[in-house]
Amino acid sequence: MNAAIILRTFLLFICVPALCCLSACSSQGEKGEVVVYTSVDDIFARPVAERFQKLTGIKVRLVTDTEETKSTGLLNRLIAEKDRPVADVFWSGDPVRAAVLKKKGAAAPYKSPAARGLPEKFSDPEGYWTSFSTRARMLIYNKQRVPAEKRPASIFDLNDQRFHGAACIANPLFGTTSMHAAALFQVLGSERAEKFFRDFSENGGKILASNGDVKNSVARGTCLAGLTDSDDVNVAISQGLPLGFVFPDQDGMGTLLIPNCAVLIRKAPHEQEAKRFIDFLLSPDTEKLLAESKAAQIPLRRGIKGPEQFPPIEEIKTMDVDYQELAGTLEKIMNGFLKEWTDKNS
Amino acid sequence: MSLSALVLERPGRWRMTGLLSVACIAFLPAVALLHAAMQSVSSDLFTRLQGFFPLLVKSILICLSGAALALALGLLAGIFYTLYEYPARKLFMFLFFLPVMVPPLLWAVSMNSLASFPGFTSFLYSGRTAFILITAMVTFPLVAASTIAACSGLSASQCDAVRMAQGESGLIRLTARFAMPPAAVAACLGAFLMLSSPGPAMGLGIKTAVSEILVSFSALYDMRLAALQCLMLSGSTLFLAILALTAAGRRSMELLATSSRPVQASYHRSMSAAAILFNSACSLLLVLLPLAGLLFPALSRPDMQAISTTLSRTWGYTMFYAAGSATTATILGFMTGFFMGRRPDTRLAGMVCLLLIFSLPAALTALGFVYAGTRTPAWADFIFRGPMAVCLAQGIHLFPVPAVLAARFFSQMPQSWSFAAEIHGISLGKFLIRVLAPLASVFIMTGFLLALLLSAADTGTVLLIHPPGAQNLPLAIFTIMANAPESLVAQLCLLYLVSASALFFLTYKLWMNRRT
Repeated sequence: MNAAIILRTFLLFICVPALCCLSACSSQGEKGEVVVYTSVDDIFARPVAERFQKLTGIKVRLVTDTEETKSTGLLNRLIAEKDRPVADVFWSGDPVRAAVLKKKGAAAPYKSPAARGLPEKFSDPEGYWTSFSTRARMLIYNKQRVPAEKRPASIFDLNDQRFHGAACIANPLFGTTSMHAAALFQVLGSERAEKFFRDFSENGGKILASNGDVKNSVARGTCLAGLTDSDDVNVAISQGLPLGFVFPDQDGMGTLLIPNCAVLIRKAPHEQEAKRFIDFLLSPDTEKLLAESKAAQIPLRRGIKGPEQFPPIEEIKTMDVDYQELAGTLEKIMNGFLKEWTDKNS
Repeated sequence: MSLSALVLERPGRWRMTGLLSVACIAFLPAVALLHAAMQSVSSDLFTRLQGFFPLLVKSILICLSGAALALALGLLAGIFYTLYEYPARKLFMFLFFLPVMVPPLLWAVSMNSLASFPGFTSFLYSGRTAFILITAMVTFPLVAASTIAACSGLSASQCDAVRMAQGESGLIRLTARFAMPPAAVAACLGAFLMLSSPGPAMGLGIKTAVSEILVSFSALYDMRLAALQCLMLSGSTLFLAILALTAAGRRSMELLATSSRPVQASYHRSMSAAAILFNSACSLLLVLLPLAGLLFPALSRPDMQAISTTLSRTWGYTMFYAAGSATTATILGFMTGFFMGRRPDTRLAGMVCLLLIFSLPAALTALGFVYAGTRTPAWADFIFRGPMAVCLAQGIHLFPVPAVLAARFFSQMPQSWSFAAEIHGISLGKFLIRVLAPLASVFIMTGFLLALLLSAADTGTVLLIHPPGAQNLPLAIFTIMANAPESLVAQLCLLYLVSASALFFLTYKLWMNRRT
């Protein structure tokens, strides 16, 4: 009886799943596959990977990140693995993490022929990372509680009395909010950027865990206005949440764009397949695909139809940021003001 | 020539050597990584660590508050379950296990959703109170299970005698005293589990020691600072755990079963009614309300295609990781318990190791595997880079849970059995397989089940070391929850809960069959 039960338990819990997994893993390490680490949301990255797989027959093994450690969990894994990498391509949701990989010696240069038509100012001049489709940092507000005439137009409006105790941003030590902080330091200078953050906390601004929480908090009315990414905004609107959005500072310093970046990993185990995947990512078709998806990414190339709810890139006044230098700026403020400010206010 | 069964009752260096071997396996990945990180420690690191200490104290206090709440409630729930019959007794116990089956971050999501309602829930389910509640939710079943397992060593005659002499209150006091040490250790383990889990703190937007470690590691890319912070975290929790163990005392640990007739649950009018009230209140506060927050959006129309695609991609790995981790944890746990035996010095050394291992953030072991994977030859990839790596890393992190149960089993095993085996010329191997293994099966299955549930709900380790394309379901939920419709996330959570519950139920049935 005992032996029979132990055997049954063993078969149920160990052998069946083990066989499933072994059969699933048996194809690992095969030629004709590419391993892609991405900090882009799973629901946006997976359809692109599947499209590539369908077109080329090259199997894509995707590793995605989570919202809370967006970009950073995977980045550390890539850095840790750099001497004998598993990944072939890092599809970054922003240029800062791509620049960190270059700095840490985990990236390899690759100037893709498919990058023709993409503006060079968003990419690394040495070819370590190449940018394509972009998101934008956006102001959102609760349409039910904020009348149209009182909606925020500039990020500085978050520090206005009308949003006292009711404005929110995601933790500025992580993800795109950290990149936005670095961009503010670069464009405004340290003094004005620090003042912005101090005013934000003095006005009772809240620091939430993630951009998703900012979206949810504003949609529920817990906060009235916040700063998040355009893909979060589009998802929220498609879900029927009562959110309005604004491209911030169209009369001032402009809106920060956060382009995707494709990075070829140094010593990539499947280099040829990796280059083909990067070519695919940088192609006009992918920009179109991402524009039509729920990510509603804005194509960097001119002439490609963008998402209907957002204007084309040439109609947006963009923040004049040196994307190559952002990683350095971020490192500096992370170990200084930004860390201290976050410690004090969270 | 075969070994005598009496060797189990003899002191010997082999016990300490065995313990050290298990500890080496457990610590090796983390130590390798810490060593690499600490190659060049600069003086400014220590200045930066000064700010970490108050945060560490605050985090420990918050987690201990949750663990104390879980200890008080879980001990009583376990005692009620052991001593009394009441309606829906098993259903309540099943409900209490639900929180362990869900990744803690999802509870934070649920709390955030409940906090948006005005009134009492907004106070109870936000900020530090919410974190304390999540700690209590996750720790409660560990305490209850440890209490029930410990109470299986109580003899019915002992209980009958106390019942006649001191009534029900006296019996509850005796049982509480008997079960307190393993229950307290389980509460500590639960607290440590939460102390080293960054998800809930990040989700609730509160700052804890481990979220600060995550900042050092993930945002500042300062591995040395993160390594030192990990050491501080582990050292502090270890110190506190030893204090707690000392305070719990040894007397109740030495109350060993002397009768083969175990205590039976019986109906008692007032106590059974009290048990129902108590269990109902606990279920509502710690399970049903948080569950409602998590699953309420699931009521809308399901997106069957998205659900089936996600499930078909992840179910195999979910099962494999959970079963593999639980098996690793159970094997290591019972080896540890075996080596600890009943000698005070080995038990203390073993307990110190277990607490130290459990207090290490899971990410440290996982990154140790990543680090080792880049420095070992390609033939070792199946250990460090395949699905097996997840099982090993999770098993190493979670084996203190079955080890506590194993330690309890080996300590309460009557010495006379070994002597009887020796007199009848039964070899050690036969004694272990034919006598001890069947008797330990209740403990083995409980340990396996707890490790299975904890590993299935873990996302931290899987996130860091899962092979490309080999996600499990909790990680899939975790990675889509930011931008997928709330209803899809809730429906996947519901499916995950149903599957985990089915596994739990199946294991329970197997266990009950074994007992009857």
